Amino acid sequence: MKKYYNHQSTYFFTLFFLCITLFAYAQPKKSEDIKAFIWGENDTYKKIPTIPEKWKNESAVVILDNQNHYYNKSKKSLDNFFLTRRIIKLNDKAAVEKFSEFNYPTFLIEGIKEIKTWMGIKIIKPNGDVKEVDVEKEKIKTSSDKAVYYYGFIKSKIKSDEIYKLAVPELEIGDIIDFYIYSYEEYKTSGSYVMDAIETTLGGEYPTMDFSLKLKVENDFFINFNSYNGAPQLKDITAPKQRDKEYQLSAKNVEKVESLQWLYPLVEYPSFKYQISFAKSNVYEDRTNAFLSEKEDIIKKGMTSEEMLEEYKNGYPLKYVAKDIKKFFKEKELSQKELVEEAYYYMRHVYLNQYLEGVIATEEKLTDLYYPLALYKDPILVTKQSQFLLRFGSFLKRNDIPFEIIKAKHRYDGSIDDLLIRKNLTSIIKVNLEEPIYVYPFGNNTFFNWIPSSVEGTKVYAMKFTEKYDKLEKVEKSKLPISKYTDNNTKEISNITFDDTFSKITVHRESFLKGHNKVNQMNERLFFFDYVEAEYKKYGTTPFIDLLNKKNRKKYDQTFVAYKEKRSKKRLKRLEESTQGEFDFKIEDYTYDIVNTGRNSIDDLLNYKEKYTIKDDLIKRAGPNHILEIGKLIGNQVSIEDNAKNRKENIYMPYPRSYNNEIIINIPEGYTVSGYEKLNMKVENETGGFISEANLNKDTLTVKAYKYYKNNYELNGNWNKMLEFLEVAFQFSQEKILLKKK
Amino acid sequence: MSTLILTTLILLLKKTIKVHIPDWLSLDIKEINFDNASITKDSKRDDENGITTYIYTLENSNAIPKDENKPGPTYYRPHLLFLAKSHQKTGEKKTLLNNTGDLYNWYYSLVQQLKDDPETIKEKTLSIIKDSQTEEDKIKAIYYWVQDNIRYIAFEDGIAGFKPDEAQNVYRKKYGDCKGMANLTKQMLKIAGFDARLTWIGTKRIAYDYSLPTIAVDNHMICTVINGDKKYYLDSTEKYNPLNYSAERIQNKQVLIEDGDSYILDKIPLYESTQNLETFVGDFIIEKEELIGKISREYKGESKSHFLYSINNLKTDKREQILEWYIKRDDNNLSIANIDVTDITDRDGDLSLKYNINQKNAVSAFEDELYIDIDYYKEYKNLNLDKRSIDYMFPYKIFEKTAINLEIPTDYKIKELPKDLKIKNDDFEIIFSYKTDGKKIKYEKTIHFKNAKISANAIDAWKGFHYNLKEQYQKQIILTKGK
Repeated sequence: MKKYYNHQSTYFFTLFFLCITLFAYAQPKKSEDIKAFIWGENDTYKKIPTIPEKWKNESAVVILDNQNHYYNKSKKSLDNFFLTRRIIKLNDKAAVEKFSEFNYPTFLIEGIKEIKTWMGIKIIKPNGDVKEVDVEKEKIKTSSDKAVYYYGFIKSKIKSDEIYKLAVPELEIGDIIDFYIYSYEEYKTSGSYVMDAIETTLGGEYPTMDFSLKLKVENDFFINFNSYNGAPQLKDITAPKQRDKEYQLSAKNVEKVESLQWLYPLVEYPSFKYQISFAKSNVYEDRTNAFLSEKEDIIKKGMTSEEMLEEYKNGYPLKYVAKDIKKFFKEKELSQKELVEEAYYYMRHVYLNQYLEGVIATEEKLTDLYYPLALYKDPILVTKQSQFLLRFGSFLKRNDIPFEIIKAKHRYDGSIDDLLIRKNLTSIIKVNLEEPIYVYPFGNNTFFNWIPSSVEGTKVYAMKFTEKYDKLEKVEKSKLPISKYTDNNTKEISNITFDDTFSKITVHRESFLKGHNKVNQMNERLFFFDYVEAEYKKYGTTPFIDLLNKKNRKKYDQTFVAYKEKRSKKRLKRLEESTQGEFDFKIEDYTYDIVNTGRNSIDDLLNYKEKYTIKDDLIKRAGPNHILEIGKLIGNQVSIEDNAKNRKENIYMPYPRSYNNEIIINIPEGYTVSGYEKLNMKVENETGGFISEANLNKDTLTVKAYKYYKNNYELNGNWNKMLEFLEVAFQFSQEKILLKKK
Repeated sequence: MSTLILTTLILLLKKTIKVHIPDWLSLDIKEINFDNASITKDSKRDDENGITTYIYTLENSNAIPKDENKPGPTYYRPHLLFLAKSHQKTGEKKTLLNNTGDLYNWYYSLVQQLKDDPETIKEKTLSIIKDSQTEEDKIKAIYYWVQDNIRYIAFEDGIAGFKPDEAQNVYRKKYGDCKGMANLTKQMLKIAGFDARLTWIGTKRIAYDYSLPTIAVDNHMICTVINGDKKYYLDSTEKYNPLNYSAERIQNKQVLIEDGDSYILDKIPLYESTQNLETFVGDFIIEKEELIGKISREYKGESKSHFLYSINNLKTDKREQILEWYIKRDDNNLSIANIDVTDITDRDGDLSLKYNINQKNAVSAFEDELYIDIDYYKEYKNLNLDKRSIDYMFPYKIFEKTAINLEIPTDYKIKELPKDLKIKNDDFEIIFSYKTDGKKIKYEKTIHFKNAKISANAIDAWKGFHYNLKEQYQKQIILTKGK
């Protein structure tokens, strides 16, 4: 997140009203003016207030965090000014290091964007001496190495591109640093522009005594702003007769925010969100990709069902059924459900995966092609949600299958009731058959009747069509279903053997994944060459190689083999690291084989086999006997630190889920096993559970462990219940058995 | 360019380097570490233009391994070192760097350009030493003040790579590179009445000494105080380094000390590994299959300065948490209480860390027997050098001693103690021993990397020993029920 801070003095307002010609349309652009503007006579922070005793052991305390954003327009551009001022007491070396160097950019991309930045730094010593840093003298120009500034811009348009590096002199522990960063950003625009949304918790890395955010806008700028979870509200502070609107959010004594496992900070902590949009006239207002308020001087705080209808009602002209899909399904006798499912996988291939090989071949320069889509007749490539909704909706309409469009919001950024930013929405088609079916815009490896875990169980807007499906007629609140922990399962069966000296343990592991556990792994584990051939065949599309001319085909024949080998090697390494990450011992000699890609339906299991060895680990030597740290073979278990045991926050997890582990120990000849009774454990409650049991057969010891999290969210009151099974699972992972020499 | 390294991080089938030397330039080329590489040398003469060309061809050179903790490249990679002695381009012979004196003269000419202003730092200097009783106290006060208050930030560009910043600038900015920090230290010490001098040095990363007149010989600057017969070497970039000790990276390295128009060559002393002793003493009892004990750890020398540096750079509010993490390594089998650490700003005294510990899952009970995993940290268990061919460098000379006393529970007796293990060679000495008086078991371990490295020729010894080490760490103490 980009934050800019400033302290706005009353001096500025005086000046503003007295010298309208000077400041009415332009903010200061000379360093001396800027300095006077911030540290001038009426700076209310000339005297630093006393820091509360409770924060004396903090690394740093933010005395003032002041941000002012000014949004102005000129004929062909937006001229925005962002002013940050922060005053920070630095209590230790870590804090001094953090604020001892600054980098800031100044660059000009002709016709697109210009950014200029000015800085000012004062250091207030413990004895009250104030030293101002001569920024112009101290700063050092470095050339930009940040590709981010080049992203999307044509290099020849970049007229200047400078990053200044500034090492702050004279900074010591106990000092207070008072600095501002003032930046001018000019964006060329024809009529509308939507700034990046800011979504942040009120608290930050350090506690803050005084926080203020001011927004000042000319007309044609629209503000979406709201505060959540008890954060203060934005207030209108526009003075009477003041031309531009001005707003402020201020907060005092804000505690720092800690990072914790299973936490959505924006949902749990006081937070605020905002987005500024510019739309020159009504025409542009309609075209702007943001929820705009009725008038610029009204702050948009949320969306009602009626507004949602107004926003989207004509957005879905369902007239996009291509010839190919009509032909493909023409003779097929399918139930409605089968048709929807078939159509989903058909489109996943024909509108997306069909082109994958060509796009990658071009990107990787495996052929001499520049534009692979040119090889296809009337190619339809669907990569955006909006395209999917139109294509899939049109197909459903044509086949008289009832459906609605769902607008959902991800769990980590709050409820749909708090919808403020258009880009936070994601869309799903709900097909209204006897059992409703959810169809999510496809990716390379997504599934029919699957929705992302981040929207499961959330409240949503259901957008309903007229009978003719020519436009939307009704929007109402609804709720998405949530998968069960049994739906999202990983089953692993590990077969364990030892060498004669117990120095090497060989593990053959077979894994079966389903539900979200599977979907999360698909892109990691599968490359297009694992499945695209089968898809070409299934849907009768022409394989990429057959579309190539002789020269390119010859080249591709050679380059593809090397490419495939390189990618497969990289994948093997990555998967080895991923499996390694499950354990706190080292694995070696790793192999990986896919048994089933699991791509045909959500219930289809992703099945793969791995083999690895563990050398000189998990075994403790006890005379002629050997202790095996068997519990560790199920992988690292969640281990909660003492301070996290007392968490006050609610628990936000990705989705309900379960894990089955089966460990089969092949007992070496001449040995018996003792101590395995300890492996029988059981804790279950409303939040989840852990159950394990061990059974000794003739030559094998089979240990089964089952861990499950029933829900994706628990109130803090249930944290102790979660700890009950988490701690038992952890203890299981520490258990050992004795392999005793007969 | 003063050096040119021939090998790279990728495998080379063939690489050719051509060095064109005009007749007006007197240039020596030293060929270093050529022994184990397949390099041929040829030369050509162009009489018309007065140029001699040397052609070096490297063939079938393996990629330089991406190992960590390698020595500097000049120790083991084949390279050319260029020594430009003189030139006669304009007719008259002009000396470049013909000998050490020429190198010093150039360095010294840069120093002479400095406009240090002692007045601006005088008041501060006097306040730093106002409570110092002895001369050594004064040196120490200034040395520590610069370490603590000047941040190391290097903006070295062009001549700034060789010319120190003026003392008043470094003092005002509170940051500087090694040269700036050395110069501020020198100027403050001069104000305090000492004979302090700038001193050039190549750190341990560089294989050469000043017998080679080239700027490739050094990469660092410190300050030397000459006080009678004694020299104090002060490297102000070494945070938490005590007076009368020099960090591993400059020990035993030659120094070029300024001496007006002349210069002094000397060597930084080599310090024994015993100065870095780190001890771990634990007294344990067994209760309900848990090890409960009191731990006392002490750090000296560089083991201490490394510890202090890490702790002092942490956020104050996180310090306790991090200290606990340092002990527990994120393992919730360990509960720590009553952490007591000595002053973490004092670099002169010994550092001690004491705490109570409760360790689960270190004792396994099977039938009538207890199996005890006595060693928690199992240092160097994972130092696998199986694929290593070049020296493995430690940050300093490691010397660690562990002593654990375990009380035998009253209703148990010893069934088996692991056998002792010992290895000693030029680079490392590691000893495991187990003793008992019937009531207690005394486990002692010494780990000693006395040269701060495992040399390439000791790697085979390490490989063999490492297998035993891993096995040793797997061995359990076995107690059985009965008197």
